[in-house]
Amino acid sequence: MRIDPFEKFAMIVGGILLGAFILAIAYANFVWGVKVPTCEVVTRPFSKGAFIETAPKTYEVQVVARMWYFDMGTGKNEITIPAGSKVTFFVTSGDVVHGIKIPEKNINIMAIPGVVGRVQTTFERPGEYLMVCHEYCGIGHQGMYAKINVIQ
Amino acid sequence: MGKIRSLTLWHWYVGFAALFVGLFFGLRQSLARAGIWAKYDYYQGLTLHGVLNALVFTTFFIAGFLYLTTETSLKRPLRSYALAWFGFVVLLAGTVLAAVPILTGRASVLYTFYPPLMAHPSFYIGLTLVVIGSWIAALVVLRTYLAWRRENPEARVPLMFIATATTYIVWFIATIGVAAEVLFLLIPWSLGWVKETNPLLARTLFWYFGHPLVYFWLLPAYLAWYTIMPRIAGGKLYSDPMARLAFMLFILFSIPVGTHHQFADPGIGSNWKALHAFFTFLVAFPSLLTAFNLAASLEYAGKSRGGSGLFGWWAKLPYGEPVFAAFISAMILFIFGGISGIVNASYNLNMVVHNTSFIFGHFHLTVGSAVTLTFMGLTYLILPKLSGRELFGRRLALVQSYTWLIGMLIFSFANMAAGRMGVPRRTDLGLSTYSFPPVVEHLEKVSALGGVILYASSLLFFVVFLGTLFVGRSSKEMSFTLPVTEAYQTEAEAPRFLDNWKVWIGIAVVLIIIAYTPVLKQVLEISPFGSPAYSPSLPVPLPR
Amino acid sequence: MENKDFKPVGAVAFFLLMIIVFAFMWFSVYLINLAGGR
Repeated sequence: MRIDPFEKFAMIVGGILLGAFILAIAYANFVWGVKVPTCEVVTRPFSKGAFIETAPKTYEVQVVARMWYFDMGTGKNEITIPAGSKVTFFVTSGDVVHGIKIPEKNINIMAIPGVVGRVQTTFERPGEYLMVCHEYCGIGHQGMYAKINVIQ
Repeated sequence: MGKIRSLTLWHWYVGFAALFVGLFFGLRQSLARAGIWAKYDYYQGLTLHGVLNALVFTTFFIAGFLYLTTETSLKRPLRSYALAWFGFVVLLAGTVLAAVPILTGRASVLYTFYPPLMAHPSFYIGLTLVVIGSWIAALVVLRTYLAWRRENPEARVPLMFIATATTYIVWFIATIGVAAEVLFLLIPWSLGWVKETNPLLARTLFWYFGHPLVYFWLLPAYLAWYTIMPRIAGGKLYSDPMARLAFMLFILFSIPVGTHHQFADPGIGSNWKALHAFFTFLVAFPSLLTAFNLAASLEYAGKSRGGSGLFGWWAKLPYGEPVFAAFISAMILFIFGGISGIVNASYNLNMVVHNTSFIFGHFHLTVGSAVTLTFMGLTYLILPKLSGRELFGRRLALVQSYTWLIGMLIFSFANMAAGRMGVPRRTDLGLSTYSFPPVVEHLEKVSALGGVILYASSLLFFVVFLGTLFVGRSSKEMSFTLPVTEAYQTEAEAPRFLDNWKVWIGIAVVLIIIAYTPVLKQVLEISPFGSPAYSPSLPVPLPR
Repeated sequence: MENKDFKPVGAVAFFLLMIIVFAFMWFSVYLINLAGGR
């Protein structure tokens, strides 16, 4: 089929744009470690939250999202960590579908009953970080959040 | 062919009635998120807005419109009107069955109805009937095509029909997913026949359907832009062969991409998510081809009208013509809808925007503009023909199109900006117990301003719509066919394989199997059928 | 206008502009992501 030169030009430019996006995505993934959640086969779903210091400035948080709070094993809706801490969140749900977004971070994961998700980030800057539920989970959804206090 | 008149009109009456009700709740949400007029059931309103506007309005409008494009492009009556009316009755019955539980507060589960939040069974049964009604409409179009093929064994398929058929092919393959979800998981579960369901499997089946769903909305708008718009603009379609190629690429890549809505889901391997992201980039390609082809068609029109130079032709387009005003506004908004969609689909970029207000900022530019505003433009074109009355309030229609353009730019850009700051979507933000930086509050007020402009614009549309039907001056130009654009590079230059359905559908099925077999296998292995039912208002499982 | 005279150079110019807008909007989100959040 004959493709006229103008169309060919548009196709090539469009192709280059999409190719550039794909390369940039790969760069962010492999060089900067910006990952998407994957299928966790080792960790089985849990029903209680936990907040564990596995090494200095290294934490594991097991989050159970429930209508309408996050159980992180601390008995309140917050955790406190020193600046520079590397935190791994294991996330599941105890009832309906919830989600976690830390607005100041590119942490973004769904909490789905029966399955566990894992995300990891480092909190460099001290301050109070919000962690909000970002999937509709019933009438209390707009009140579902937790805090991450990052201290010096 | 006069029988088409009431068939299309009745589909549109119901569709626009649904739009009218749904838009009111859209207004309420944009205000409530800014903390204004917030005392109502936000999530019931959100369910109504999503179901009535995105599912009911679109399905009715598209079914009615595609009957018209089928008759126009194949130049023969539908086969048959009785079956088409039966489809209408099924659609209507489904809509009523789904609407009653929403209106009575028993189905506040949003239009994605993720289990284990459970709605009244009537909601799921109603939505099933809506899908079956749309299948009947597809069957009518298929039977009409087969009859036409028998009568014209050698003829090329007209581009308008290529677009019509592509819409229904994508829709049919897509709805198999949601039919499986609703029939095998949700209906037995909501009726209490099984106690526990599988939320991740349900989400995966929903998004198998949910992404091609957006092409079911968008392809009729593409149909209008490719085959009607250039003529309204006073020109020709630049390339018929490239348009055909674009539609065939949509058949290939509309469906094996659904997991890009689940990048943040656990239980699905990131390698398979990357594959779906790659296919999504391939489905962006025909839209880029469309942008160039339509721009060239507009340039042809502008130059035919005396425009010249690299940009001079823009000034010569018929911006004072309501149909064109709606189309051009829809296309401009879709440019931003397109790129924000590529952002969403870009794998790890999605971690910034997933489930934030960036998402509805994006899709109000696509389904809420490219689609809805094009459908309004089509109404300005077709309603006078079908009703035999002149368009009432041409100036109002013009103001409507351009206020939609302005209102939507304000609304969407405010919400995309807020989304980049992590503001959640689907949240009654006005009542939230946490707070964002002050700039977000300002953005929500800007978004509310956009919402008010859009609502006012939609009211103008309904004034024009009802005015044309009831007080429009009768005209002698009653006609039941659409104006069809000629092509500059004609179908004669398109190779025959471009309209060989079997080949394209075959490849599409292979791609779907490649993309979805590993995802479904993984989901079934990792995700149990273990979730009891929940009501949105109680934090404990429903006693059953 | 003669049919065969038509060269869509204006459309090419428009298309390039659109691509630039696309790249700008896309990379503005990309940079947020590389920074690890807003």
